[in-house]
Amino acid sequence: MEVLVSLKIVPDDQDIQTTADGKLDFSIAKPVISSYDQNAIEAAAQIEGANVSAITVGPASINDTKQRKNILARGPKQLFMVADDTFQDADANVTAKAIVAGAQKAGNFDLIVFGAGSADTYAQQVGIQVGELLGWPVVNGVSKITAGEGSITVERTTETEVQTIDVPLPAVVAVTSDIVEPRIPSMRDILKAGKLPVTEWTAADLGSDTTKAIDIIETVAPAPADRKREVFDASVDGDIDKFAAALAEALR
Amino acid sequence: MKAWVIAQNEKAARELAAGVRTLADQVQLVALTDAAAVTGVADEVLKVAVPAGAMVESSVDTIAALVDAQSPEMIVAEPTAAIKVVIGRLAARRGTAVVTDAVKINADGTAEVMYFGGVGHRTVKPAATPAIYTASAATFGDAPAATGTDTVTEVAWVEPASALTVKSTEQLPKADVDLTAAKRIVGVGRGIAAEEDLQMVRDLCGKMGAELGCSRPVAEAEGWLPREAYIGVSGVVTNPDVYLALGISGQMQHMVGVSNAKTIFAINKDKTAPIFNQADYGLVGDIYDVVPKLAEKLQ
Amino acid sequence: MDFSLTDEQELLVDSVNEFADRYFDEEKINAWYDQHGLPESVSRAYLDAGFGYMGIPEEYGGVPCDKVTLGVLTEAVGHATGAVMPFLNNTLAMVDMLDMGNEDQVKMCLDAYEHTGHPIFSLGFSEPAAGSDNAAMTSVTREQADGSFILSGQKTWVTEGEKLPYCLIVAKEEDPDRKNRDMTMWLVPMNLDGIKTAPLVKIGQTIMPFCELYLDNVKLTPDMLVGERKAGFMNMMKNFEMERALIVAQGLGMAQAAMDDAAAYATERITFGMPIARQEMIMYHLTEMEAKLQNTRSLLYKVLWMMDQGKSTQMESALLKYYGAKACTEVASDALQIYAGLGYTTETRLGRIWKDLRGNQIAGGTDEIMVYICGRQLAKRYARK
Repeated sequence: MEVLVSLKIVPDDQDIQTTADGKLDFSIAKPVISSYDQNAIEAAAQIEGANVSAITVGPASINDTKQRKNILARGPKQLFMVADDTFQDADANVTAKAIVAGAQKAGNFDLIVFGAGSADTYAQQVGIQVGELLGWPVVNGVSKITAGEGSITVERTTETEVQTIDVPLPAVVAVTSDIVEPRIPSMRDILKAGKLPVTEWTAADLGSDTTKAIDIIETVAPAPADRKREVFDASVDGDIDKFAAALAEALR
Repeated sequence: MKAWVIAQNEKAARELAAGVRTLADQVQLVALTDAAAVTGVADEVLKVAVPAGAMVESSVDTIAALVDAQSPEMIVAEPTAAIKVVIGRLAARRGTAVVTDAVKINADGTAEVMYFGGVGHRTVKPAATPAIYTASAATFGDAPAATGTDTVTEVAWVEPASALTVKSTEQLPKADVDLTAAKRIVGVGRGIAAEEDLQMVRDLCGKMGAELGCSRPVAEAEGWLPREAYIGVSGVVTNPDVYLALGISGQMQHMVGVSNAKTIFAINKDKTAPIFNQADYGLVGDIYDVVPKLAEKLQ
Repeated sequence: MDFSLTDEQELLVDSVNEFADRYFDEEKINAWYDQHGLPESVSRAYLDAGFGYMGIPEEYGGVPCDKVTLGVLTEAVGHATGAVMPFLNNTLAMVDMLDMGNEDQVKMCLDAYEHTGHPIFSLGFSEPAAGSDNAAMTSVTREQADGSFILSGQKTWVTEGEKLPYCLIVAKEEDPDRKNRDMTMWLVPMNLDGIKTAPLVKIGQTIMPFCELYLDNVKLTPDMLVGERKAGFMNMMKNFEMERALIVAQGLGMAQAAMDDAAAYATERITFGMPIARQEMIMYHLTEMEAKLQNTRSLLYKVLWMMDQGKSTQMESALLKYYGAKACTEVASDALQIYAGLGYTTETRLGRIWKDLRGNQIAGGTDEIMVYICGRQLAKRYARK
């Protein structure tokens, strides 16, 4: 089964800083694989009989040699890298169109796998749009995938139930964040990764429509909430009482 | 302006209709189930009768035709798994994209969303109409109760060219907790070492009249509490009067779920835990020692 | 000169950190210290994650790995856990056995390693009267008419000697006298008659407990011989230099962990109305600590690089061990000092790290022996021709 897993490379949110004028500073935030996409890559790699490729779309900064190897150390046998500033903060429609173009350029896939939602926007929409644009069935919330003949059987978790659905291929799935724990890449995997093929494409190579569907007007760091920040210490006589009194007061 | 609500549950139908009413003068409620076809909250209920055996997700063609017929300028949808598929596919067809989990929606179409789980806030605006958003009751704050007529119009089902069907289902244990409505919440984090230890926390909840929630590791990695109890960016966003965090470090991804709380209390044995910077009252101490004492004092 | 880690090395560190995140936390580590052992599931997981195959020769299933990368791995584990874990010892012991053992011994040990993630043998080298001065060992084998050997003597500081089913013992042949340097290595099953152990309690590094070993006319057979007869001394010394470097690598990681804790704390702890990081004495501590960490790191990777280049590191590895072990202990001590009263309790890990690191000034060659090695080499090196 030819499987394509789509992942997003984002700045490491642990290193996002705030500037004096309340804006976000990404200067020391290195590119990383969006957390839940690691689960998607692993889920794709574990499908029986799957030959996995990976694709990622984003601004030029995502084309990082370490992240390329990181992706290729986790199961995919090749990577399609679309790193073009045209895709900076691309919305789900622009991204989906690019992935559709990339998938069609890359080959014939039976299944395209997406993660539960990206670390930056958590929109959970790209996979759904890709399914619609390709005219393929799309299932989100997938918590288990079993390979079949020309189809897959999935368990899909909604708010109230777990559904079992037979999905004819080709199809698109978006998996849950806890479908499977991602592997810890071993040194062997890491060394092999450096030798696996990476194909680089620009927005022009893809020729997809990049008209923005959503305009981003402003991004700011939220003002720190005005909290009292009164801190007591349990080891100080009477502090637990003071804390309890404040709690009792708030509960009234 | 004509705006839609798309919902499949009664609560969301009421809450979103009330919210959308503050933005638009004409509100239509597109109900994808009988339960969501609530009268008296919108100017009209457009009831989509999903045929027996069909999935709600298969209503895209029906909804797309309805959009063409009704031309809503704004659509505010309940963020269920099924509806995310419907509006996502609709958005793809119309060359637009859904603004998800809007923290705030304005009449001019701009909306505020979280960036990196709350590390940043973004103001965005869909370029085309209908502008599509998903939202929850928290998006509209304290909107006055929804008003409307009891007009219900049946929407003709458009049979899709191909559709998936559900082979079998297994009901998830009904979550007897709805943290979105809870006014008092106690959250537990990694400071709890074992599942049995939750008992002393439940006792405290009893004394406080509070619901029990948790941070992601307790729900996902440990599985001690149901997913509905997980408070955070990919879990539940709450709106309580009082929130007490026990053994929670204060990571942004969790704290966004309680940032609306009127008063935040925190207990943690690490005095450097970020939560103390985000709480009104903090207590540095071992929860195993403090929690029983607190429960006693709150008798 | 490129001082940066390669992408592969950085990814390795990421993997170590992820592994530590999943398998270790302070509570578990403290419990393992109390229990004097790591659950087998953890050493197996370490092996399954591929770390345990690094440094093992490729023909035995190992991952090709230069010594610099092995150093990166070891430092990363020390940093991520803030504890002395048995992994580096496990790898070195396996490398020794694979190098010196016969086919049957290699197969047995490799099978066991793959199953459990740790070797099945402990190392019986030191004796009560022969640590630094290993020529003074008096454990001796006496060859019998029937081809067997009778082993008598005593070993000490035998790591995991009470738990593991075999012990790799070095003993003199025939004559216990100091002048006799004919030493032979044996892979001895611990269930033979005449073998007794007695526990020793260390003050630190307690995940790997010590014991004493009493050998009372133990009958050894020729199949237990490891390597060439009378070549035991040379074989023992073979990997000593690598061991010194890896001990420093581990210690460096742990000292860095102590620095991470203390330096962050210094920016948060308020006394006299400001963070203590703004007090000059604390600035002095932090500066000294950082200098020692960076110096140790630079010297460590230079020595490992020299080893990879096939250059002699007889002096440099001793210099590294001498400088690094002491520097790391001092960093941990200063870190504890920065935490003051809190650092002196078990509420923080600084005390554990300090106790552990103190042991590294003795394990793998004492500071004093390292000086002796360096001193002789330096005299040779600097003498005018």
